[in-house]
Amino acid sequence: MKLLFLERVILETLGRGKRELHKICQDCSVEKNVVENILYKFFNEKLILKNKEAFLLDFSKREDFLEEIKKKGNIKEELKELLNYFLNIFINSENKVQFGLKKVWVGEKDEKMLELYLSKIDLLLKKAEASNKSNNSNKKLSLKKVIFWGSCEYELLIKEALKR
Amino acid sequence: MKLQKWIIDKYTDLYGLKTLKEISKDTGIQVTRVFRLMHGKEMKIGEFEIFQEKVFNNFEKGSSVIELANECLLKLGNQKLGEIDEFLRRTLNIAELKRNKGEKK
Repeated sequence: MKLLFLERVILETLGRGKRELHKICQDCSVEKNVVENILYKFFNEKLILKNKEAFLLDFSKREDFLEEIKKKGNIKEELKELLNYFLNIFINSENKVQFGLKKVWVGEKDEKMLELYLSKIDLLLKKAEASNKSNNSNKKLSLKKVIFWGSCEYELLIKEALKR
Repeated sequence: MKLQKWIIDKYTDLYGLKTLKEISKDTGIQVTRVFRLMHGKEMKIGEFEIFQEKVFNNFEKGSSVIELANECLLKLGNQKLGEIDEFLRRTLNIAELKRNKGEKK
């Protein structure tokens, strides 16, 4: 099964514990009919159970599921969808979304500095992630920030673009 | 044949239930031939294209998407075609998720 972005969102919400339909909608800011459609699909895929009015994840009949969604090809498609939305928001909104892209020659010293800054960001976010697990059970999922960074040699992108 | 049924259903959806004579007039296909097609006789490519044009002329940009897709099939390799296929499939699945209950596919 290949997860769509919105399906991932619902999965993350249910990953926080069992929830009723309206709570799921509130937590992830997704419209009711969309949530219902996704839950229906998850139900058919045997990924969730319904306990009275609450829905909860249950992978006991689909042990392959987590492995499947972690496959490189599936992750790639999910990322492409997310980045596509991000770029749409960035292009259509003024100043609300931060995005930076530079093409520069980086000297040896600057490269080390860059690595240092990036590893500091990484550390900061890992700490935030760890504290999220214990302190943010009441916060809405949709209030999370999405942060990404990375760099690569221009040549790699050129080679990729040249692939037939 | 599945595709043929789909295009006829789509045509009927868009233009409503027409008489054989009306369909014949609209498509330029002879009445007896229209009768046969409606009763499952296999379409010729030319006939399929007539129905396709009628259906997609109703959708803005529809025909250009079809033209582009045909051009992609001719000019692109398997990897790129796979990427387009995946993108279209996902886009359709996303639209499907946003569909209201009881809304027509």
